[in-house]
Amino acid sequence: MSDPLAAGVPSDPLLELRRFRCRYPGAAAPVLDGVDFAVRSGEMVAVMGASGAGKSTLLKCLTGVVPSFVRAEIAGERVAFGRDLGTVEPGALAGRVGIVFQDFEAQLFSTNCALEVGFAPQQLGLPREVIAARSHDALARVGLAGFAARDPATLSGGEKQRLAIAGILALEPQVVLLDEPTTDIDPDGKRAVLDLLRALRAAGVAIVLVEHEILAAEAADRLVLLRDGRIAAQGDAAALLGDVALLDACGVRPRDLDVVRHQLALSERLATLDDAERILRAHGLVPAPEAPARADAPAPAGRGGPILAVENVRFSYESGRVALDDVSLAIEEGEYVALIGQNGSGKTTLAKHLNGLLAPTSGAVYLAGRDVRRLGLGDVAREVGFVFQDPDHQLFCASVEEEVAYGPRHLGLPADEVEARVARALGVCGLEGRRGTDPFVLRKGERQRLAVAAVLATEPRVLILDEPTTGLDYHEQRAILGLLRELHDAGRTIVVITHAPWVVAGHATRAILMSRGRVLVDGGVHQLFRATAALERASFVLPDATLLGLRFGATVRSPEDLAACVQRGGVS
Amino acid sequence: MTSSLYLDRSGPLHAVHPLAKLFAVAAFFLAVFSLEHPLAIVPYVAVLLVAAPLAHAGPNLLRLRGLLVVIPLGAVVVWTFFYRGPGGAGLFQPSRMGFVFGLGMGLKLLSFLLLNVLLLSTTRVEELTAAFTRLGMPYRVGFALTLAFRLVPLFVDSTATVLQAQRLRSLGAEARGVRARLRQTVPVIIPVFMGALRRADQMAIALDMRGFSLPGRRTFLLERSFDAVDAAVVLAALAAPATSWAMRAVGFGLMTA
Repeated sequence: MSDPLAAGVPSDPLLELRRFRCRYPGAAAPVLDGVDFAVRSGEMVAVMGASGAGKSTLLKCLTGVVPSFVRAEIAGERVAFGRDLGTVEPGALAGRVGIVFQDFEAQLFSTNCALEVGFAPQQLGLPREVIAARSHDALARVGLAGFAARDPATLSGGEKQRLAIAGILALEPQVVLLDEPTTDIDPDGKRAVLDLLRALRAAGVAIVLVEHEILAAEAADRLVLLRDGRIAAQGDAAALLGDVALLDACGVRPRDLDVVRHQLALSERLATLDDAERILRAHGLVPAPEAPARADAPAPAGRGGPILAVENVRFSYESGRVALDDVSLAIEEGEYVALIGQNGSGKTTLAKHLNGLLAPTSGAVYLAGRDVRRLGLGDVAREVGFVFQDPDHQLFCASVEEEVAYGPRHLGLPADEVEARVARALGVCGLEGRRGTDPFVLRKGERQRLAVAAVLATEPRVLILDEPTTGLDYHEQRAILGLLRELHDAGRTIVVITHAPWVVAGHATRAILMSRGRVLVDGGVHQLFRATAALERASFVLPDATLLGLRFGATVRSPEDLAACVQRGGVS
Repeated sequence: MTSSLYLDRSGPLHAVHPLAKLFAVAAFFLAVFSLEHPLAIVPYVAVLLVAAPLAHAGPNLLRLRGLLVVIPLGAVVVWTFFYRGPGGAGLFQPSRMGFVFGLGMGLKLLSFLLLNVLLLSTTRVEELTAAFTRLGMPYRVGFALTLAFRLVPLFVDSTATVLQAQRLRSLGAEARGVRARLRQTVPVIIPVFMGALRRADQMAIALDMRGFSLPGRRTFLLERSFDAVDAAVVLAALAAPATSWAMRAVGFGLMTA
């Protein structure tokens, strides 16, 4: 088979954009403007920035997907392996460049994992034994050894994401491009993926990683910060990650330890927890042991018992896999509960029992004392609102206003009450000015808030959200979490399924840690902070600020809390 | 759970070469298609039902029991009232001949459904792609033909999730009347349709980036040699149309007044 890139000079950089500009049809402003970007062998580059900054487009332009598949006006130079990318079809890069898209599920179309991973090598016409070996190796490298015969449809979101990565590793590419490869993966899985990327880099593979999370950028050699289509800053990742103000301006959540350093105006870099502890002690900055005001605030007294009660619930899927194993818990009205645990631990299954979408195989779920099985789904939905992880599953109206009015209209409310509820929900969710907008042109963060507003307008007593911060930039995450805090402060019961430790520590009043369908820890977040063995068993790592606080015997929930505790504790 | 029909078991029908299975399906289809009388079709349905355990197809038959009952029954009802062939009555007038013909049509449809369930329970779509390519069909065409089998389960999954979301958002309100019911389907159709478009778009790009459009010969991981057992299956399958034609030759199998 002829390789159209073989004639080119495979010199560094492998992929490059020079003075590159890209504008989508109908867009007012270019999505990339004057971008110079290059990646070389054995280099890992992290690309970060707010939603809409141009990160995904950058990857697509590097591979020629834009404009070959996605129409756009482009200007500037694109070079792949020493050749003008304009003269090469994007498909010709297969075998040299592997890309994992944000929508990783669209990349999976085979009937078992081994065939999925072997798909690309089959297109290259490699011998079967080579394909089998590569497939086996790639699955093992992403932690899916033993999954060869599994149907991809039966995998969890995180497992599918790792399978998509294995699918490109089997190509043994020289360049790997990943668009938010760890969004659906639990903390343990994220570390495994990053370890894998480090190993690839050590083997000389060039890696470009688009991420919202700082954990990924910490593994990179170089960080590129995009802002409104332009490169706001680029350089040594470790140095740039310490610039809290710059990261904030680019919609990137800074590291906890950098926020602490920034808040306490320290000049030394707090690279690790050990560094941070040593430097704080050297400066005599010791956090006061008392807990900040919001920590573990007792739940308001329930109105006649718990709003939701789960009693000895066991649930098995048709395959026989036990997803919930004798789970019992009660949620009081006014609590802010974080449901946490690894992929496949049973979090979403439990949440779907709370709103009646799933019925227990044995045991019972009670809503305000009534058995959920005896209630209609509509009756449960009026009191328990559920926001799906992908907001697009629940949005279908032609405008934001109609979307939010849909629920109240189905409640049979009079027009003035519908309008009042729409106005309230849009106001709370910061969408008042977007009433006439088509939901599908909103950004992901806005669609997420719209999904919340649509549920909120039915005024449920409990609001359950499945991974509400996934795929959002830091500003959008703060907006949605701020909204939930306001709702909670107003007395609403909130249940959040999340993988983000900082969301649990900084926002919830109670945490339920699950593992293999069982509840490992159920209590206030302070109780979670000190449940070391259970945390280790569930591979759940607390945020750095909390871990640093614990070294001083202080219970803190965020870097800001830690700085406040230090200021209260004074200089010892 | 998996929404694909393939059942990963080791059974005698799983072991048969996909080309032999495709040939057998075509032979059975032709045989049944050329018959009308239910008594002539019953033996073919019986053979397929006997083959079901060999295909370990029980779980799929259970999953699709609604279709397997409603479609044949629908045919019986419709033809009972609309049959206008030999011995039939007028439109909307039920007739015995119409009922018999409808029963035959129902059994035909049942056998077509069973044939597909047996084929897809025992054959991966990747094997079908390889088989089509071996028959001389261009790889891309073969892949596109089997793409439907790959995508339907994904859309079923997506529809299930959207339905869950919409059931919650409709707050249990049941629409009354045809127009209201049609309106209530919009919340399901739009997200599924938009999702399908987006997925198709993404899949096309992902396929290309994984070498789908590269020229040259492919390797098929599941390709296997055509052996004596497969040849025997092909010969045995020929018995189906041969029997059917023999029945017709002696004047049995077609509707007569």
